[in-house]
Amino acid sequence: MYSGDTDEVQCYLGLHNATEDVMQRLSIMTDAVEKAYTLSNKDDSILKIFLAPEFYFRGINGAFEFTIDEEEMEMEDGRKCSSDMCQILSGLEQIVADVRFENWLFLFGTVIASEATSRHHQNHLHNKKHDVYVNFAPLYRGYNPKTSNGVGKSFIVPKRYVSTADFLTPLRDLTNRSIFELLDDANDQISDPKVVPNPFEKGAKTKYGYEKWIKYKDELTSYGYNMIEYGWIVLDNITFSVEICLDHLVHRALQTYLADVVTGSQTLIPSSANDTISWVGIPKQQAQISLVSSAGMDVIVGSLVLANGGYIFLQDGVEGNLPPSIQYGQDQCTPYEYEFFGGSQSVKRTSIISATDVTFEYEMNFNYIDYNLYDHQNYWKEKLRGVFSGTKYQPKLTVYAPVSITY
Amino acid sequence: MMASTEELPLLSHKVVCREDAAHVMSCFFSISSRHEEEEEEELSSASAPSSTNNYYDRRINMLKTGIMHVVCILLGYLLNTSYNPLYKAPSPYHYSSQYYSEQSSIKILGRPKTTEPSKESTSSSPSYHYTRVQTISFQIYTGGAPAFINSESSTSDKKKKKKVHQNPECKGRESNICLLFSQRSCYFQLHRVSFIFLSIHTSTLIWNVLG
Repeated sequence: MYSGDTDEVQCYLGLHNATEDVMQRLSIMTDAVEKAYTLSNKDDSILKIFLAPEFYFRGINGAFEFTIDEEEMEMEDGRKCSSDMCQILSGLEQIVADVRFENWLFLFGTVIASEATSRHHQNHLHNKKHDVYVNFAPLYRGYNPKTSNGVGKSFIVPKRYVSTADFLTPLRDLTNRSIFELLDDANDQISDPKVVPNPFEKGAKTKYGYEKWIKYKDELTSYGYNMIEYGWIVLDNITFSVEICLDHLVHRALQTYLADVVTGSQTLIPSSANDTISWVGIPKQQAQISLVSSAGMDVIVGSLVLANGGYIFLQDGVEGNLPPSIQYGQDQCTPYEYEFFGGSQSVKRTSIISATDVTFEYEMNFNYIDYNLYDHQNYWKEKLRGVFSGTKYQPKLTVYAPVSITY
Repeated sequence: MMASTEELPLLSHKVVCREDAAHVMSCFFSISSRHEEEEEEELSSASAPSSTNNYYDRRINMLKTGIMHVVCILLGYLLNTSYNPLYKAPSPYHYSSQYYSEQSSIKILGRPKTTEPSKESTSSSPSYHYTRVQTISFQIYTGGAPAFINSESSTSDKKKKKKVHQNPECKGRESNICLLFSQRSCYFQLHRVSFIFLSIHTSTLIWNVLG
């Protein structure tokens, strides 16, 4: 007998063979992109944005691994991949290198990865130590590989802050009543050394392995990737802010903007257009479009960095099927603020300055249509089996009506 | 710098002045030198008997010259301040990324190796290829699979009982089953227990392991 919220006890899902796991996730993502293309407006003056939720690429152990001594595997493009992450990125690159997606921007959720460094130990089960964690979003501009050199099309958006919900934390023993006890990863009672410990619980680390993550930058940039370190990017003269879940809650893009202002507007962000990339200042008018990939997050009014008439789009991976809703003044702590809810959220912010008042107005965008990703009943459970749970809701695409960009 | 030009009429001469400071100053000196030449001519002619009209003309010309000097100085000032609509204020777009990578504590990260970043963005007005945006969001559950799932027994139509079963998705993965509670989480080895009873009273979590 068991009572309580069944969601409180969870397990990671994934295939034991990491390569097969990656391929299955890529296959589902490809299905979603293909369906999105079918449902999209084909007008070339409309930039299409494909937005997936956080944790899409996570794996059976809570994180895909970086390993140096892994056998190299030759990908279709000839690149030899020596890590799960390389296979993921290579697969996504193949999706976007398509003439059909020249007017597309893709935010493919996030990749959770951990570098497993060798550790000498008598117990061979504990020969790996996970001390570098990264959670990042691969972001791409689609392009025609026959006419474009592909420069300025691939980006990495690292998540800065670790959320308590990012990882599940192993407990030593069920009989231990102190479920809040922090994990000591040197403890031999941990049954499965492959399951990554929760970095948040390891000494209350609240930021991802930023310093070591920077070292991976060179490898990624050698493949043509550009880092979006501050959550800001300009694409074809459209200013974007891009945040991952908790980064949105802690105002990462807004803090960057404000810090940039008070330090003399010296921060430079990538700007991509016409197969070139340059580095520019953060535009004063803020972002015309904001994107958030999340798992358990809503649009936060206090975190918005929208230009006048700009839109924010958020896709959640936990309560992704909840219909969008808005309420005002219901929270006693924020009696004069709007709150937004739902799996797919889109909000427009307009600023109003009168002789006596300065306000922002918020308008939730309900102009959308949901489509099932897989038309055949219950086929989706077969497709997702092993890598995503079939107990929640079937995958869908929320197709918004085009909105104007305010320049 | 500035490309536009304008003509300043000065007595019988026309001097072309460009808008930037250096050219305004050259314009100033040009005007000055021309007036010095005129004054020399006037002085040389002044050695001859002169009429009252010539005297007044010379005074007027000197006055005009003084006014033009003041105008040029003011023009030079205005052209290099924000009062001028053509004035281009220093923009962050024009900062050299190389400069800041070396001089500033704000680092530039992730510079691509495949292309050299431009040191300045183009000064021409940006082109806006896209006028609208269409977003297509992908809804898919990316959280952990619930270890237990509810099901309703159909023994009685009137009184349905909720039963909890282990989620088959988590079978064989007991080693990474985890508990999420109050922003905390844990995992336990399921094979050690047959049944689990969990009750939550206020903020206290009580575990009862049965079986």
